Amino acid sequence: MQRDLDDADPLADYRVRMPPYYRPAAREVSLYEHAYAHRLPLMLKGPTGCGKTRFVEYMAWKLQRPLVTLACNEDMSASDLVGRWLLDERGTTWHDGPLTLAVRHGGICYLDEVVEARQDTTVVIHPLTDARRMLPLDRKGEIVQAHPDFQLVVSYNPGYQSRAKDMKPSTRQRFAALEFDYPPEGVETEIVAHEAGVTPELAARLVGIARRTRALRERGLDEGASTRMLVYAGTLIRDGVDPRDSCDMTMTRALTDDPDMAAALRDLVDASFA
Amino acid sequence: MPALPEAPQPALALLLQAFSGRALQLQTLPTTPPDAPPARAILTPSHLLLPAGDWTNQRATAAHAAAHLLHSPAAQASATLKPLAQAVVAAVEDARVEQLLMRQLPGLRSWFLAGLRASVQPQGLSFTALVSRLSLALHDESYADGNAWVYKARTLFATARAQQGLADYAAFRRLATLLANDLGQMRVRFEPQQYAAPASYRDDNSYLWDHGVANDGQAQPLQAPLQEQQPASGAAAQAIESVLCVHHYPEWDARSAVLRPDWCTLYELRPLLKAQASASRMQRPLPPLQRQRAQHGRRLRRQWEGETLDLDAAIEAAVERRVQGTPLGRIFQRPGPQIQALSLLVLLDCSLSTGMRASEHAPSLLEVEQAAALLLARAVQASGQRIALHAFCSDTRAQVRYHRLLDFGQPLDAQAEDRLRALQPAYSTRLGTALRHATALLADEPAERRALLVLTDGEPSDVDVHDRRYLIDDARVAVQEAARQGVPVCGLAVDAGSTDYARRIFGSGNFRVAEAPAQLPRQLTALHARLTGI
Repeated sequence: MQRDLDDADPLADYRVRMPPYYRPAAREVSLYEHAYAHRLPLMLKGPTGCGKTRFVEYMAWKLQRPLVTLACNEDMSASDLVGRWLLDERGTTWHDGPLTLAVRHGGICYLDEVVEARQDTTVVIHPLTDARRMLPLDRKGEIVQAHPDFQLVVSYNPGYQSRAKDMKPSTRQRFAALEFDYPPEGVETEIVAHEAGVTPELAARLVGIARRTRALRERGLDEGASTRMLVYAGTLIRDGVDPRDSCDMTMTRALTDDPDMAAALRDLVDASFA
Repeated sequence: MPALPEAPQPALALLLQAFSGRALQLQTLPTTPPDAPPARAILTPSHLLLPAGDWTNQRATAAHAAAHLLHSPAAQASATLKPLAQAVVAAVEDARVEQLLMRQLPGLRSWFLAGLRASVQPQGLSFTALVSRLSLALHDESYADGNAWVYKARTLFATARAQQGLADYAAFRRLATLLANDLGQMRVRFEPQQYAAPASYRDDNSYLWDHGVANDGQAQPLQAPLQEQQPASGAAAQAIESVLCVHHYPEWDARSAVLRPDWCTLYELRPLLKAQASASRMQRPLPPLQRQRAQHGRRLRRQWEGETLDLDAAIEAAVERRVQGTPLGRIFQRPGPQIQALSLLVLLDCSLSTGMRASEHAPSLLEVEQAAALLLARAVQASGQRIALHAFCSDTRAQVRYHRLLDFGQPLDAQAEDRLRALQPAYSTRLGTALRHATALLADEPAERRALLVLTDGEPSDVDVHDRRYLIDDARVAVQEAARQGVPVCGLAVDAGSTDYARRIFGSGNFRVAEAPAQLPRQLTALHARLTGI
């Protein structure tokens, strides 16, 4: 029985069953829907922890498509994406990699932090991202035509990526891009209050701190506090941790090693709570 | 040279920016003579000058300044107000903007109250005492004060806050004028020359007023911003003689927080070729650069031994065995040594000060720099990595001089060594522009990893810049730009007192300080190890 189900839907494990919480900040939902209607490959740009991954999960749920997520890293090889031969008692059998699964059965494949993968790895997506929409499996001698539902989404953070790790122009140009930033103040407050389960007043306090740290981005901070950090901070506070300790743990220490910056952030936090 | 007052802590500038969203220049005020009224901070739209004090007081000053910057109308005409009225209006304004800021940052309440409680004179009836009582009464509901004037002030303030709201500057100015009239009728003496805001964290409120021409000097005790300087035609002509190419680079002006486009002109000069007499002195033995240990890098696949199986290789081997072939035993993977090529650009400061010697026979810093750079270049080239040696000095923003002594891919032959030795100390240290140029040159390098190493003998300076923080800030911005382009920048400063500015420029952890030239080679090795280990 189980086996039948699996055969019926090889991407069953990748389906998003529960609606993820996502609070749209602008028109990104309808823009994504338009892009998906034409199966345009999408690139999501934006700073750490501003909601890119959550957005894709939400869209996958909304469009009722399975979501295959891959966190990219430097050691990732093309086999890790497309698949490899494995051995069992009968001999070698081909096992589709996550990308091939999504291509074959019609899922959304999300390559998170795509620039972390080496450039020679990322070129395997090229034939998928133009009119051909196909994935050649060199080792297997097969060409997989993409399922009509398949879509490729990648994300990257333009803020801290080094030039050496930038995407090749030939890769970049294949994508339509949605730019993300931290949501507007009111929306961010709403998100923190919902996700951390804290009062809107406390959420607004935390958002106030984050917005002020983001103003320090040019002055020694690589990035300001992210929405995700605020959710962490709020969660600890809800748990009974002193707000100053919570922010010290989730924000100040996570953001910087520089003693001057840490002193400034600590006082900023101190000033923000009565 | 008179000692400059100690610069305020860098954290304070960050805090002020976090509070106000604006980047201001911070400076410490010189100490005042004992008979003068106590010194108070001075705020202008671009600067905050603080008296020396402890951190608790200074951070409250920063918060108070942010309140003014965010909520006070600046430079109001003061002509219609008598000095006493100005002081009362200013005290009420202080309370108004602090309360506005406290709405967003409630923790500030305890910062401000600490300062107000420390300065209050509960029984005093002098002008200063009454203002101190007023200031505390407006913030602290629990503070009991029997004075009728203070009571009236409290009531009027609370009414205005409830009816017009704190944002209404005019309403609070009206009530302050009423309060000032009352003081006049009470014949309270006011001596403008002796008055300072009672709470030590508050500024002198010159930010609020425009006194017209007469008092202008007092309201703006700061040096004028940098003069626009046109390149002197003579100097430019002299530089053009051996110029290879000319570049223009922007410069960061921290006071106005703008990147001034094409602000500095950089001349790439043909290096001289005549060897110097001092060459012989450079043969002094210096400790050799250590060989780098293997760094944690990419995984090596298909190894004879290792920590984990290489999945693809293992499957191939098993398949091979099934078909009765001879499996290759290389089925492991392990972390390999760093195999990514590093392109290192070493930027030498050859400003005039590097030519100074501790004694007649001691090598100058430039000579030590040259020798150390030579050793480093040999070691790096021997290990198969790429290195370039460039040098710079500057003579105003119109002429930053840049020498490419050894370029990437060039062999370190006798000619290159001559070029290095022929380097003469001259002019000043405009580091930011040189950094931008070096970063641009590095961008053309094909290597996966690039890095910049700066050797300098002191903080950046130039004859057309009088604010010592200006070029430091510019250099820091140039370092951050480079980092964003994937070029980490490390600095090695031969200057015992350089920790503060070196950290400001290069960021904590990315610099070393050599207390004396003799330490330079060892520190250089350590920095190189750090760069190759990233």
